[in-house]
Amino acid sequence: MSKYETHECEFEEIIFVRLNEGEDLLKAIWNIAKENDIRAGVILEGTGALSNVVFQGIPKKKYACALPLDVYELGGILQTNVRGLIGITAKGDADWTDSSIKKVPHVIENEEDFWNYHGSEGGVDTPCFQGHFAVVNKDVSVMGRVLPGTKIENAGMGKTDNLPTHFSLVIGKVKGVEYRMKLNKDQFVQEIVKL
Amino acid sequence: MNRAQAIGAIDELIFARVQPGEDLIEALWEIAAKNDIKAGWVMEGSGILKRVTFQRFPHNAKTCGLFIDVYNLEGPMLCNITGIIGTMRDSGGDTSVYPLAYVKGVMETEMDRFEMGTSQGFNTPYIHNHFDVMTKDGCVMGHLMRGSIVAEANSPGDPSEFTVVIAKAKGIDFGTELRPNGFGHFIHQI
Amino acid sequence: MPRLELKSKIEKVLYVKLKAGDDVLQAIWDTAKKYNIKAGVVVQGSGGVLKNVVVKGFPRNPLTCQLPLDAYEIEGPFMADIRGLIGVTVKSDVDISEIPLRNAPITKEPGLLETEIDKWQMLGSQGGVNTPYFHGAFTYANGHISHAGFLMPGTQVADLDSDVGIPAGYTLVIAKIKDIEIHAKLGKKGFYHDLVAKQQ
Repeated sequence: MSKYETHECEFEEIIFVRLNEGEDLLKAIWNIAKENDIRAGVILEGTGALSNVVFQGIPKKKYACALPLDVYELGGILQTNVRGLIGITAKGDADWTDSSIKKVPHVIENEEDFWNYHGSEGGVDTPCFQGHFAVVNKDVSVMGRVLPGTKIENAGMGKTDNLPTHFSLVIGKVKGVEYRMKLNKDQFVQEIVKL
Repeated sequence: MNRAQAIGAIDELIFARVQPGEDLIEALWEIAAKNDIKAGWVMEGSGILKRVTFQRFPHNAKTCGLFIDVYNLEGPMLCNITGIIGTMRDSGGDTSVYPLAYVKGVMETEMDRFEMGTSQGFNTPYIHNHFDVMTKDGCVMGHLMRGSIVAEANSPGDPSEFTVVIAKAKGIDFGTELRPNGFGHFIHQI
Repeated sequence: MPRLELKSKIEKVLYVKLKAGDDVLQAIWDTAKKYNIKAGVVVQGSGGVLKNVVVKGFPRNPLTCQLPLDAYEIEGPFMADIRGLIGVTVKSDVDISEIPLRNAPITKEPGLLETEIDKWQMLGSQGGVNTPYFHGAFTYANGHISHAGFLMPGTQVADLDSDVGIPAGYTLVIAKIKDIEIHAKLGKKGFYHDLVAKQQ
């Protein structure tokens, strides 16, 4: 038996999808996951431009931050490379109301905010995304975990008349396993379930 | 929301060892053309480059002659590249209506314009890539262009340790076109 | 020298779940050995956070650094995104004992290169000929820096002791490739890659 919990599976299909200007990146990923019934998947490729990114990062000072992962925002036009794991939010031992961070002013105001902060669209049986993006604007390069509020940009060309973008994702839909995120007591856990 | 989408499968993976001194982007174009990749992506690509040429948004959009700036960085540097691969499609029309500012040494010819989109012209491979490199001073990210050269091997005469893995998809035709109203903006078509 | 190219397909995909304290690179090597992966791609590494990073990168001053690539550790926690190539270390004409330290005779550097295994691992091999090899860059970030480098042993998954909001564990997705092998061969100063059709 392997020292590490390991599950064999395969790529069922590959999905190329072009994102639209102004779309929210994370919400688009959830939406695509739902439309394609992705319960385990990998963003294999995601190169494009964003404006106004909102993301989670390790806090600069742990005990000064009300949250275990701080929330940052970066403006301007940014080049990005997004990757991560798509799965499904599953029922855990705890309810969101049991969490010690169920209310953080301006960040977590309601149940939807709570789930979004953890990468889930809206709680149990909704898609979740555990992934990172690296972004670079004219001044800085940073890496973090995508949050709602991050918008697809049509590459800084100014008015683009809602033309299609050049931001396409390549998603590998996996069959044979489910990738689950569960709220157990006071912690989110990842679970990989063989089907 | 309507989103252009296509579903296919992985046809095959192409493993290619890029040689010391080779231009990384030219190598990817060549691999894509030779393997007739109509839709694909760079599944993995890391190694050492001795120099990069890349695009990044300008510090000052008013003083930069282009909407996105072009930089050079001397290495050596560790590089990690990603990217989506397709075809630069000819959507018809006169390419002279796609004005981009003339910038001596950077944007002088029509080919320079195509290369801003990491393509060599109509009906040639198109690679929308981003990369990060780590130099001794820090990490830089951007969009890799031609002029990014694989470093010499650890020992002169040895092959490199820069191996790329390209995934070729089947059942999907992916490409890019120039924006019709003349700004030279690239649009993905799936 | 012509460019070497080979085609293949994915044999299977592995989801590997790491726990707090697991060494990420050792886990990649161990999984490669367990599943006899002689060509593979770490397609994604994501989920939780890392306690620290041990990374290989270019030295700030190549004249004072005793190695061609420096190795250092930074305390985390860090978010990290890992990708890379898996292969196998094979025999070559060069012995590991011939690999010099830069600007110095071959010596044991206390705490860094004390054994032959350390030298192999500095180059990406788990333990020498016929052991797994990993070549991959990863990006990592905390509240102050975002950086990249090549993964080294010692990089561990964080034990967050119920820090709500940070997923526990770390998941790797590895594609095992069939019909080919990626050979890491020792040249005079380091590895190079050979791509070969699968050996029987």
